[in-house]
Amino acid sequence: MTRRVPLWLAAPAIAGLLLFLVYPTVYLVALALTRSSLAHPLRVFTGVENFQKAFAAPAFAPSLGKSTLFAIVVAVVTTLLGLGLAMLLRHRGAGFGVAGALLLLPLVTAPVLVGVAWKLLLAPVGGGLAGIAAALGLGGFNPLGSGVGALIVLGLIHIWQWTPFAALIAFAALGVVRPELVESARVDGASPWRTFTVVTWPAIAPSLLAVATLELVIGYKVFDTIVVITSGGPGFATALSPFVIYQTGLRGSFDMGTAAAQTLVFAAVVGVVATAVTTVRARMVRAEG
Amino acid sequence: MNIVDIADLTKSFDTSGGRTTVVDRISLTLPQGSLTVLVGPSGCGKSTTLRIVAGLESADSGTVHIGGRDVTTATPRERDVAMVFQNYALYPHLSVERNISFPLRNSGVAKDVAAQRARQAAERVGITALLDRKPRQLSGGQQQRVAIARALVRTPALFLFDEPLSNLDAKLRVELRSEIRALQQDSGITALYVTHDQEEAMTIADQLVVLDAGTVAQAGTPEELYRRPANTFVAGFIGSPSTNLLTGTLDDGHFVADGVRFGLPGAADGAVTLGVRPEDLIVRPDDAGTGTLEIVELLGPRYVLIVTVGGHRLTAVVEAATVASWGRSPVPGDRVAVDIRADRAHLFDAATGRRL
Amino acid sequence: MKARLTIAVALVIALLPVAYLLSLAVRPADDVLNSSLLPNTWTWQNFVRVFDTIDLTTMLANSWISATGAAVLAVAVATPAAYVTARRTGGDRLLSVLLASYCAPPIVAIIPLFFALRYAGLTNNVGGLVLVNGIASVPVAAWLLDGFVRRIPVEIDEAAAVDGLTPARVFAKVVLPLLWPGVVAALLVVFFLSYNDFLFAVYLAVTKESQTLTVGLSLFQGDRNVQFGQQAAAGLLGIAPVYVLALAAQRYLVGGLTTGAVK
Repeated sequence: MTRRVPLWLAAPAIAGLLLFLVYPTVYLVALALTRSSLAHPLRVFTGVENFQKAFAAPAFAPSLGKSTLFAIVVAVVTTLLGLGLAMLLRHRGAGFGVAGALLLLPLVTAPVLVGVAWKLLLAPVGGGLAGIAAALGLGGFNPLGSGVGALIVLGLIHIWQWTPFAALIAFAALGVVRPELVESARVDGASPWRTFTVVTWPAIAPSLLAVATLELVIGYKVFDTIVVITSGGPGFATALSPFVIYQTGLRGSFDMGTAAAQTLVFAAVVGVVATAVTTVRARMVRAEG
Repeated sequence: MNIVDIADLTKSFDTSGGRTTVVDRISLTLPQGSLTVLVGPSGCGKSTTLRIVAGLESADSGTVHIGGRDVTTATPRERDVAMVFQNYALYPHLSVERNISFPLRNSGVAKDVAAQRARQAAERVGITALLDRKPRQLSGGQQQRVAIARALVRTPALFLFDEPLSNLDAKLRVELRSEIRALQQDSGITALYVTHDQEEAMTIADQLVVLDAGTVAQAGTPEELYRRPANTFVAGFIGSPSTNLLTGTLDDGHFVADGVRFGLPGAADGAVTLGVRPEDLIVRPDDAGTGTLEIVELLGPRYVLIVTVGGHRLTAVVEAATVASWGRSPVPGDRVAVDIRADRAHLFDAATGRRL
Repeated sequence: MKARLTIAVALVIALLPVAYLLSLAVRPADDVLNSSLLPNTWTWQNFVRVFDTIDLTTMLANSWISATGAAVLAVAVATPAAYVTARRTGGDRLLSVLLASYCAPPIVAIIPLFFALRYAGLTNNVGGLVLVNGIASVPVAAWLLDGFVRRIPVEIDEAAAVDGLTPARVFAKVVLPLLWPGVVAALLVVFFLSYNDFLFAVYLAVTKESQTLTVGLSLFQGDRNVQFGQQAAAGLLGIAPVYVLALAAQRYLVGGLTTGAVK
């Protein structure tokens, strides 16, 4: 019976896949192998020249490492924080509630807007938090002024926005844990930590690992806040890969060929990391039985 | 002559352990107007067989004919069958009346005619008061009645029932099964019914088919299966409490096995499995007896006695009047003498389990 | 008790940036950089003047139209696809491919899409944004709806088939009516994703007539004399209805995301 569900119901979706996955990949390869600009794409076949140019640019290669580090860190932090928040909410009762609904708002806030707000909060002269910082004796409080500081700020903003998503999924996953198992563990004298590791964790691990993987992929996509707050600076400190590609193709020399080469390399990196994470996750899930 | 013919049906599934054959060359004929029950333990292939007949699964090989037509590759709607599911499968967003008239509307019957026939079907199962309600407002028994009405509203070539009463409590099961039987007989439509409950199977079947791991262990009337089980599987499955089965040897008119000795005049020598139904076991108190009472259960009009004899644990059913004539209440630990009614004993080949 | 306190702190952190934007939006220009979270003087002027500084009405309209259109498009495509992924044997492979395509950073698709849309005359055009955001969101919508379809017992499909419906009609007449909480959730999620999108908009719709709110906000940066108060006002005008929508439809959002995620 299930075999009889006709495939044509999914035809528009498959067509969308062709438009969004197959065609761009093919076109990107074509762009990467030719001299292409915004105005005149696909002029002359140039082989691997664009790839060489891509790596020659000072910002690109480091951006790959930075993007990966950024994605991993925010994925871990959002998932753990989200789990913590979810457990706190669970304590209060079964429903997500008003608090939960309000906690979801960062998720539906446009990153551009978030960027504007935080840029002004952190402005060294006259920013919202400058007064408080001075009062705490932190004169010259300018996190956006240093490379590391700016990266941390971007990370915190991303975590601010995406922890609610992890919290929501963790909350739902916790709802699946059977209360009888928890009670039975308690009757058997298990400490809260032990109850967590033996009863709760195995039940929620698949969902948590799934959300961590999603957060990882989302962490790679950070773009809006960079444009609005730091423009990749100071220097190239916060020039993560999507931003570098944007600069190459839509600013500066409008070199679409090199931008395409950079995109392919970046996509390959993301693919490798994502596959590694998924494999580890699959192995962990299998180990849990 | 609208009979159903199932020939050589085979179906295998890929499972974690490899490839399992769930239905193994099953052949059945359902006479017109009869109610055939497929019964067996879980995993025996009865539901899969039913679903193949319905067109919800396809067999790897074999054919299905309904009313003379070969429907082996036909879709469910082409087969002209009606089905009642174990968990009712009512459409949650439709009222009871719309649920019942649903099959008619799909075949182009006019709205008012469909509504009227839905009403009639609802009357036959006694739920006319519920026609405007939604399924979630009904109890389990009421929902199942709606499902039955939905099947009745058409006059299909075949009714299919997939464990329809398994989700209901015991009392409701007994009540509904006779109603289903009466409705089926009134309508004169052939029916195939699946259950794991052997008592339910015995009470409603015209033809009873016991399945064992994908094959037909025996097919016949309930009486045939009860009185002359074709193998140890059927002997053990049909009847409650289960038949006592002992493996031993026949020697010079006596059955001998591990501390047990029963007289079976006229039986040929050899290795056999002896089958004795609990009601055919004769138990009486005897201080010199070879058996010991383990458990005594009073079920009102009768007792169930579990007796240890030699290396065997046997179950006996004794009428309360008989026990009363013993003069004292039986108690665990009492010594008893155990014998069998030789004319009611069943003998099976010790190796194959087949009836001798 | 500790739990309540922590949640309260979390709420403050969650709402602080937007609260600060509100505090910025009600200040006159010279009060913006006053080193404090709170304004010294109040004025509603920014909310009025911003409509002169930028074409806010057009931007808001573009944002709303493109987001609504994208939501409808994505859900229309994803719902039948979800029936295939949830019910058809091997359908989950299609879902995996869809999700894998979504995991690639959008930057991967944007350059080829730019050229394709330019060729089709859909750049700098709300229609182009609807198409791109809609199709890009199909994997998310399909993933959500797939969870909802799986919640419907398969016996219902089977009963409908026995009762005489072809598979496509089983989907349309029996499954779809039961799917509407999932449809609402998917519409909401895609709406928010598209409304807040910046990447596609900044590549594909840069003219004054086609800009969305997100692009418009980022453009405040270029000037020497940045009107932060007005920028904040513009942002709030854009986000307030979205917040109201999110809170009002919270039940569907929560239900939808959790049904999709925890199966």
